[in-house]
Amino acid sequence: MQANKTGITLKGSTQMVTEFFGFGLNSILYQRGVYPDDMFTRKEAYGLSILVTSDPKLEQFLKTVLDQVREWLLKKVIKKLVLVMKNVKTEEIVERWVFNIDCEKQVDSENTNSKKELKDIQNEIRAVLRQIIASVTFLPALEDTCTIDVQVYTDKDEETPSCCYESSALLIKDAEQVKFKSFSTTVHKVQGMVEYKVKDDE
Amino acid sequence: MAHFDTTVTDSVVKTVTKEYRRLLKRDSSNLMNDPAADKSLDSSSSSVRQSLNFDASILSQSDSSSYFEDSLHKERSVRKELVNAKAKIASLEHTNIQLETSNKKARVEYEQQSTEKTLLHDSDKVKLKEIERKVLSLERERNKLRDKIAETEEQAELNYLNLESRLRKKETKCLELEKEKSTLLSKINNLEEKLVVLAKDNQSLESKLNVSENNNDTNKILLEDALEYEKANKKLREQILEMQSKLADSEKRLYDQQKLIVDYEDDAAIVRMNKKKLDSIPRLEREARKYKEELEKATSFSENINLLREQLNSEQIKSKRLEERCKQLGVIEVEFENLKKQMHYGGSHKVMELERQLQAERTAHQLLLAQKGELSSSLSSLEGKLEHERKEYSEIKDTVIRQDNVNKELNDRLKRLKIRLEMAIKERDAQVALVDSFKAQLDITVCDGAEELPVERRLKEMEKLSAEYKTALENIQRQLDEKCTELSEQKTVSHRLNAKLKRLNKQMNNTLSSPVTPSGDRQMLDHLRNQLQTVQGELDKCKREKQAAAKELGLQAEGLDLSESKVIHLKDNPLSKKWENINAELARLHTENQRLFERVQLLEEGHSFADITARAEENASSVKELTEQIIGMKSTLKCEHIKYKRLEEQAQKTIKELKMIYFELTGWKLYEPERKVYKVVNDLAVCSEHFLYFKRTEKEEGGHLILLKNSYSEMESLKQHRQKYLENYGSISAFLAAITLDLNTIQHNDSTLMTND
Repeated sequence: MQANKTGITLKGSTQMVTEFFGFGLNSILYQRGVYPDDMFTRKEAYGLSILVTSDPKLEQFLKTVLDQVREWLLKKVIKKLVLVMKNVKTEEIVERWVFNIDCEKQVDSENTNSKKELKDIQNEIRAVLRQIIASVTFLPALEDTCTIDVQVYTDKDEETPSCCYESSALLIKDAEQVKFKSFSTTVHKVQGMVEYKVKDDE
Repeated sequence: MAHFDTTVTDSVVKTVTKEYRRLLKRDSSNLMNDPAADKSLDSSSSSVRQSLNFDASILSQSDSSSYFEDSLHKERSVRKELVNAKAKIASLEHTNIQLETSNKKARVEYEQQSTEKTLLHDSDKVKLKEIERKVLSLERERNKLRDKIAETEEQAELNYLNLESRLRKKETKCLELEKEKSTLLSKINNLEEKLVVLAKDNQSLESKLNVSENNNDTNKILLEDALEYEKANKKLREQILEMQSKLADSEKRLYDQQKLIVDYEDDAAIVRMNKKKLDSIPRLEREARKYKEELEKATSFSENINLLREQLNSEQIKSKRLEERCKQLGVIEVEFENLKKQMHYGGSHKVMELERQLQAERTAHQLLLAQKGELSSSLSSLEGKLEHERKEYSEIKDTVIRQDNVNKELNDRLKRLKIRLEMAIKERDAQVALVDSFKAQLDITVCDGAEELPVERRLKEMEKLSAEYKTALENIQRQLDEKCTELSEQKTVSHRLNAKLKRLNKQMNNTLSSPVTPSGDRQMLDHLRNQLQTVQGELDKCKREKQAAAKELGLQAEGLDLSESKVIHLKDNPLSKKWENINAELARLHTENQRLFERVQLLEEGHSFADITARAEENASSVKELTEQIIGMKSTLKCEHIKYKRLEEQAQKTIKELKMIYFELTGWKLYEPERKVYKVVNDLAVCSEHFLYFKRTEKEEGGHLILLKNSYSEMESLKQHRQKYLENYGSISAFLAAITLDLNTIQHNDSTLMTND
């Protein structure tokens, strides 16, 4: 980790945020039952036991996503990372896991920002991950088979890489919204939230 | 004797050798396994030992030393042989044991193998059964699949028929359109021809005009031309009408938006009202607390009453006892009289004693009487107290019941208010969601107000809501302004078009009035065509703008600016890929299944083997087309279904709203338990059974609403109203209003009484 006594660098912050996204996406996929349970293995991170995928295809996909996100984080052009869950049959959007990212534009790759302890940042990340894990209690069960989509909101001028294509936003009409705690590395601030479709009978 | 001894030793040696041989034989014949043989071996060894002992005893008895030495030597040799024999026996026993163990091992192995084989056999049997079951299940599945295929085929056939019918309709429409087109073309051709003719005629007319201006034939042709122009004019007018209808639509939308704003304002007023009502909650809670205290007092009173009752019972028992004593005293007096009589006859000493006893008895009686009086007085006072307490208790009970009723009503009102509040909140949320440009993200998280009072918290929430509401209103206002600007733009466009139209009309009139010039008409036609093209171009542009606006709207809903950000979608998602593959595989299998089914059908029909493939492929291609058509139809059906659902939801929502408004305005709740039967319940109804039924009569009978008889409608209190408003005036609304007024007065009187209390 690129954190030292004086502060955290852009690289270090990017590394931390990317790592968080990796664990976050994995635990969402596990908690929401998008992939079967036997495709996940336990891994210790931030003092938590987090389930991480062992499926090579999904691993590869997440790797490409995270590599791309890392690049965008370093460029400070990323604004949002959205994990969309939609019904396979009806193609209806049932859930959106949104991570808003605020980048501190003044920090360079070499310069450091204010002095925030690594432990504090890790504690904040742990709290967010705990909230993600606990969110299963209030989210409605995904009764039908669902598939996922990953969307990233970037600056308009940013070139679209080969692994991606431009599209319109996938939104949920009349969605219920629950915000999670945020965490900040002083370079990047991540605010997570989940949007879900409320059933008519509720 | 010596001879005897030698014979004995010989006999011993012989027996030993015999035994040894026998053992050897047995060894050779592998009789060691037999347990009986073992026994015989033991017995034989023991017999040998016995014979040796016997021999020794005989030898001890012998006299001659030489012979003794010989015999000893022989005996030693015999003993040696015996030892050897014993060793051999031991070795044989050892081999015997070894053989036995090997035999046992062999048996165990054999048994194990046999059990394994039986287990294998059993597992094979089970597997066979499972396979059989699987085969059966597969057959069943196959049958089911066949049935399903048949069903799908039927459906496909039906769909095919439907599609065919639609296709025919479309074809007929197409034909009609083509006919129309051909007629229009023919008309155009005619017009062009006519134009040519007109040009020619014009030329001729010009020549003729020089000759004679009042030629009738040319006038007729001119009139026809005028008619044609009128037709074109009509078309243009239709276009204008279309534009006007669009304008009307946009105005309608504007009106809807204005209506929405009015609704919002109404909601805001309701919220304000609710807020005012919520202010009275603490007062009501205070009253409720007071009544609770009174109730506690009443319960303590009732406990006192119970204690007093117990005291009364004990006093009653005491009085009973005193009465018994009085009776006893009477008996004693009678005895005293008797004794007095006896005194006249008996001694005076006894009389004196008896008189003393009597006096003592009398004093005791007097004391008892005094006690009785005291007790009776205390009893009467206690009874008075009891009655007073009872009265108080009943009064308190009545007040408590009344207060309970009031509390219930208040609770009901509170609930209603809450429901209204929730409805208002829901409405607000719905409106907020509808207005996607709601930029400020709502923080639902309500801070933990453990220390705050619930009313205060509610008030704060209400204030928050009203603030959010205001922002939403502002947004709507902004949207409305945008729409207004759009509308004004559209209006200017329509004005421009109208002006163009007028100009064209003028031109037409001019052309009609002026002598016909074919070149000018052509120019006009070209001009119109150009205009049409430009209009189409504008339409396409509008469509493109709409798509871009939809995109922008999506980004705005996310709180982002389209000019600054874009949405990127990540490719090669394994899950969606997997599902795509599954769907593709399913489709492939379906087509394969269809193809095979076609083949089977053709085979069943008895076609030759060579034709089958070609025919099946033909059928498959037709099926493919059909399936594509079916998919298209399904998608349209889905769209229609969603539309219908949305409409239904909207209708339900409006019905609910209307019901609520009706209830708020009139105080009557309306239900429809049966078709054309309506149940109305007043909000202020005292009893749950106080409701009325109305029924709408059939159309043939006039389709009027009539009041149905029930216990409530037949009540005396309603009789007057019924006669006055229903029978005399025939007004149901007046009748219901009268009932509401009555109930309101009753309610009001009750509440005033309560406040006076």
